[in-house]
Amino acid sequence: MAQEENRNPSKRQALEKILDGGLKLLSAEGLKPQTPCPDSWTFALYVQGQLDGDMRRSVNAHIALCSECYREYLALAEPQDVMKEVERELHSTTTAPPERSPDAWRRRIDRIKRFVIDLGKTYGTGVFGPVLVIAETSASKGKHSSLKLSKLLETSVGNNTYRIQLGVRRDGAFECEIDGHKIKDETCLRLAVRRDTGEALLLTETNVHGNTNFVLANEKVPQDMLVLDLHLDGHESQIAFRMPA
Amino acid sequence: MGTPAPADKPRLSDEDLFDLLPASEQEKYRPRVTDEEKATFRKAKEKFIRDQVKEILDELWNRHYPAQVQILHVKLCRICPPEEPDRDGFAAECTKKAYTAFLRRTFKQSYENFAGYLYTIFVSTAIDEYRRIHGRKPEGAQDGEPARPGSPLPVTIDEVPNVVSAGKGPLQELTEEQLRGIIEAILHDHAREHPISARTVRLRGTEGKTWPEIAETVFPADKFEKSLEARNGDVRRLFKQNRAEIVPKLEKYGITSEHTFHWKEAYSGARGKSKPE
Repeated sequence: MAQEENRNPSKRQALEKILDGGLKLLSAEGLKPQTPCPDSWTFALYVQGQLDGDMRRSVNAHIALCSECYREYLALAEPQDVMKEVERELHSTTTAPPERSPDAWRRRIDRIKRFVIDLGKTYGTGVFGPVLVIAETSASKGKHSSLKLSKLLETSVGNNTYRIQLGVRRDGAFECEIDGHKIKDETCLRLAVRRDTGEALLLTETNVHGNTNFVLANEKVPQDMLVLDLHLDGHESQIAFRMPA
Repeated sequence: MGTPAPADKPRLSDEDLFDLLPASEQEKYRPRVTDEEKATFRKAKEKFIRDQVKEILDELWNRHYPAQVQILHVKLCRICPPEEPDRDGFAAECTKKAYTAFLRRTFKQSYENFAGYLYTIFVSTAIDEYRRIHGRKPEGAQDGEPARPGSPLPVTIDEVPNVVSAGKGPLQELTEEQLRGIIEAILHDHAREHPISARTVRLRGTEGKTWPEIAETVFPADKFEKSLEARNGDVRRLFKQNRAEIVPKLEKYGITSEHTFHWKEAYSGARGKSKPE
């Protein structure tokens, strides 16, 4: 089995090789911008962040592929603005799970709300909807822990399996710890904590080994249903839960 | 136009002055009668601005320019390209040209942020000046036919064994062309929201630059007060994370992981060894 896996690199690695090979096939000449260089007025508005929508995206695509305009962009923009753009790009790439239409979100919620995990209740170990409940603790069993209640769950997203501890701190804050349990695709898992309306309360990601943790302060955690929205390279999974009353 | 006498203008608000600006070229410029005047107008419209209009424009300029002069001077000096040793001279030239651009460009409209409008005129003038000093020929469509990836062509698994067995014949060329088109399309699309990342992917993946070369191109030392190591780290991070975002998009174009071996062999010249699984 291990040999089989060695002979067949993961799908992701295979696609990366195709991408790398394909990029090498391209020449700088072949990757020219599809639009003319922006005129100075448009460019001036762009560097001031005053272009919206398609115009901004069009100039973005242009400066990515036009060396002269990129040099001008660097000359015009303040270094801190360039770094903000870098952070934005990294953030939008890795952290934000894709947005869905309200209808699509509603349909998904309808499917998962049969399996809302009430962190104040005891379920016993076993399968519960999209997750496997591995362990449950309560205050009486963990007097020295900062957590009043917690549940250790296991779920899969794509080829990876994660162990997720959902906990309630003694001060009422919500704490979540995610560990990559079986990681076949070394990719950051993007995740959001959402209200049942789809509104994101928190966006973050794991490292490539599937590990992260975060806390939502007591005042930020609503009593109604919450959803841990997990995304990995086109695969997704949602875990619905509720803070104890 | 019912323009107030010059003495009244300082008492008018900016909004009142905007209202007094001409709405059309006809209102703004004196008529040109002779051929010589017509030729001059083509080169220097501002010389034909009606006196009353010029007074309004000057009033607006004198209200807003002095408040921004220092900021603008610093900005212009920063934009000044390294080829131009006299930064103050560059700033002075830009200011002169910005004033002319202001006279030409300003018409009647509701300016929500007139100071910002003036700032944009200065920056755009500085860009023109920067381009003039560089004597640059724009890349892209102005330079000739733009490279367009065209519609994505799905690559099916069925095609691949044929391509591989045919080696570098016409079918192989076709598939390379398809892959090239697909990756161009993906990169162009990606660049619309990730300009700096796409630039990094291009420099690394297509041009084969080293990390220090990419760091110097994307985050040049004269602009960013960071060590080369830190800038290397930034471009590596951008490349890695954005490649991770681009890879799944290949599947949308019909490329699957099963193409790997065929491609690998096609590149290494070890054709004919693989068999369809």
